[in-house]
Amino acid sequence: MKNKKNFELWQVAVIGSVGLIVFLTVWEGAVRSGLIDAFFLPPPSAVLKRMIQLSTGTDAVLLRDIRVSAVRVLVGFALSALVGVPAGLLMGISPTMRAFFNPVISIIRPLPALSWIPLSMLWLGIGEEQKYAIVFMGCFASVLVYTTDATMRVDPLLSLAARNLGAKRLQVIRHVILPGALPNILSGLKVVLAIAWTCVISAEMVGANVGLGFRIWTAKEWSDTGQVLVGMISISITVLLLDILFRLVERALLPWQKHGVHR
Amino acid sequence: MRYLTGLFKTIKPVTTLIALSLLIFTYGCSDYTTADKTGSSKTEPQAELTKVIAVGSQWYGHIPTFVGIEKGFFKEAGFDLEWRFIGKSMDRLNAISSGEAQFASLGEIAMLSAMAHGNKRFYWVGNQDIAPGFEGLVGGPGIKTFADLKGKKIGFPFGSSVDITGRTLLKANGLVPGRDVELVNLEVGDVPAVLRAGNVDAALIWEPGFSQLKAVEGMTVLGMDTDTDIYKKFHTMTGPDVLILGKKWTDNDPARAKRFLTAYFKAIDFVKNNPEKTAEIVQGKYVQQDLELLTKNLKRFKWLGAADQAKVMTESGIYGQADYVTEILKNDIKAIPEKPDFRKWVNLEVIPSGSN
Amino acid sequence: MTETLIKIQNVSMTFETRKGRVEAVSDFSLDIERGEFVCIVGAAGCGKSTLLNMLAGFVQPTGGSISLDGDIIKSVEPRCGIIFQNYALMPWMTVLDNVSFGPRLKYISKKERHAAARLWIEKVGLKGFEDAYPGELSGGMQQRVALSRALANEPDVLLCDEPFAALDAMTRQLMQEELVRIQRDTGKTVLFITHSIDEALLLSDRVVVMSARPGRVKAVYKNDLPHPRKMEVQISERFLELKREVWDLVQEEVMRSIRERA
Repeated sequence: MKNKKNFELWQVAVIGSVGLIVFLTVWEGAVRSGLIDAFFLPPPSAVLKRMIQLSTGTDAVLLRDIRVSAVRVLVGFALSALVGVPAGLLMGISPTMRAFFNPVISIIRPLPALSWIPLSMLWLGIGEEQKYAIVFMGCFASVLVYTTDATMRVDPLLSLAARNLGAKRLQVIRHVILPGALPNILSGLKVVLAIAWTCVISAEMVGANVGLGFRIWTAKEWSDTGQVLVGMISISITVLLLDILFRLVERALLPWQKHGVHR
Repeated sequence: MRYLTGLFKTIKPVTTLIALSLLIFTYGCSDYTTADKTGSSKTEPQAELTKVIAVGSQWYGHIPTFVGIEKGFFKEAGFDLEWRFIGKSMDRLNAISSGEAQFASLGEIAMLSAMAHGNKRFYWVGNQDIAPGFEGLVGGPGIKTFADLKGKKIGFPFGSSVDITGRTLLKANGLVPGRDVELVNLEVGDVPAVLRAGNVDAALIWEPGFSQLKAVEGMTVLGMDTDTDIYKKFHTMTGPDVLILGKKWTDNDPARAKRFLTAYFKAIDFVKNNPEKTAEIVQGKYVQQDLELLTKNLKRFKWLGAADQAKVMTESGIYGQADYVTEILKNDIKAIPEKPDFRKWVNLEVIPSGSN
Repeated sequence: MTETLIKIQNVSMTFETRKGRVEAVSDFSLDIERGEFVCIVGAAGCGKSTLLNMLAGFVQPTGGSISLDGDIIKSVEPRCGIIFQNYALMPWMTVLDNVSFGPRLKYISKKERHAAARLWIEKVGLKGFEDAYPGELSGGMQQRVALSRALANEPDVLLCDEPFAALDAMTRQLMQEELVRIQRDTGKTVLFITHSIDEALLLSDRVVVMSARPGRVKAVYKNDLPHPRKMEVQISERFLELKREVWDLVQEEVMRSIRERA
């Protein structure tokens, strides 16, 4: 860490912007010069134009798409965290629970969200519940595994110290395991939040009429590559914004973490 | 122990090497096969069959391709035709645009939309059927008239021909999508089950789902493609089937393309003249449908042979209809930015003249 | 000053491991008086930590018994506060919260426990660092926090598990002096584990030399060096004499354990 070159924030911003501009210029140039067929990859200027079209005037669908998809992501994600974090804590604390649930979790975890579409439609139809369910199923097992792992990685010495100070079992969980696992649980949840977005795009493949996934899939049916790209970029931007938001939450919850560095 | 770690140390680079060479090998192979698929007939002797990949679904419009394979028409003409399933028109067109596939039948709507968005990698080389009356709007329990649709949900595959049929019918009956009715995107295969489960109130669907739903008690056919202005004006289905060839593949050897289409239209003639035999040939292996329904539908289907193409592929033929459809696509559905000049994609030279 | 606080009677501890039974401590007996500062020295792996874990009540001896103030230790014993080598502070708690953690577990009001904690923080010289997180402090400062945390919980005994081993020499010296001062101020009983004979002689009233595994009492020395044990004491005849005696015993055990392992 020490020997790495440390840039100021503005320097990072400038270098990053230059990188982005170079990337966009090369892209635009490659299409304009005919190196790439614009049908296969519309230039950034065309994508931007399409983005403006889709977010202003009578056809302003983009903001609603973002909002609807974000709600689906957040609801499904929140549900999976609500169930997965306590269950993961339990599994992290109790070897019996871990042994009991591990096989089932191992079966569910590798299933892609897409594979839940047929059953979810059968059980829940094509409404919002089904979208939430797909996001939930795509996230739940990961939340569980990350939380279990985070719980098990809490330094056992800290539990020992707490017990020495007179902590009962529940107090150890409340005062040591929970706060000790929190940083790793949060970084796990951050990864899962990105997974949730891949799930919602799958969920919106069928039985949808709004959402970024729907926008991309229908644009494909019309061969509207520009709109496909607008949808993709909107996902990136939204995920980026949510990530920043998440970092702020993280910072608020873990005030002790950013310090560690100045030793 | 030391021996073991040493072994692991040597294993790592070895496995990496193996993995790398495997990658290179598979890449090389795929490269080789693609090269084989396209434009190799010039160098190879006539006896060698030219590999062609055709893509399609279970829709009746693909039946001539199946018959051509089974009856050996393609092989006679020097082609080894491989058929691959791709359910959606636009996905088929994209497969052709990428150069992986060479031939497909698909819906006119997808073709026109792709043209409007600037896809120039294919030729439009015919219209093999005009089969109105094979798709429609089915209302679930409680939906008997268009008026009942108010405030309800209609499910269908967005971007397909029923998209146009449905919107045209709704417009004619004074219903505005988004305001009066909610439209929901569905996979073709899911449509019957979703309507029967009551997750949507009505659905737009083509055969064989259309017949399946009609047969269910409580379902009402609210309208069909034959009720639309498009049918009234042009006597076609909303999005007739069109034939597509890869542009590069065609340009590399136009004579080969013509030879291929000649074999294809030979299959069309067979299907046209022998609906029962055709049903028997394709049922089970290519089309998983009740033989009776298949035979019945095949008899109703109107096929257009090679000789018909000279009449169909004209301004007084399908072009007028295509013009009208692009109008709808641009103004009503706003799916395309501009009306494409689809005539630029037509390649009449490779269409066999045929004889009746 | 002759009241026995801790009575360790014929304690032994065997573990079942995959490689078979391991006898960590065998027939260990020792009485510690209230207010006494006892150091235990011994070769690595002689069962010092096992002994400490038994005193804290984390594990129960497989033979013999340990009693504290007349009660046999059967479960975790908060009256024996531990100072760990790696501090074991909660990184998410401020210094104040760490120090008042013990009282908090007893549901003592925030006001009361914070007030008490502030006193202890001041006593170990950390005034002004109440709101700092452990991650912001040096090793020596963290060990001071750990010390005040243990003291704020009002234990009868301080169990120190090589607490200064990870500190640099200068900080260690300061901490040693600090500990002696606090021990003399508070009159706490201290059981201090170390592998440094110098440290043992500097701190203790008595030095217990443990044998190599299985750990037994090899010898007990009364440390009659005068207080305060400043530099002059550390170069005195008596100091060197004691050091040589203890070292001879420890060395014997170290050699034995090396031979046995080889």
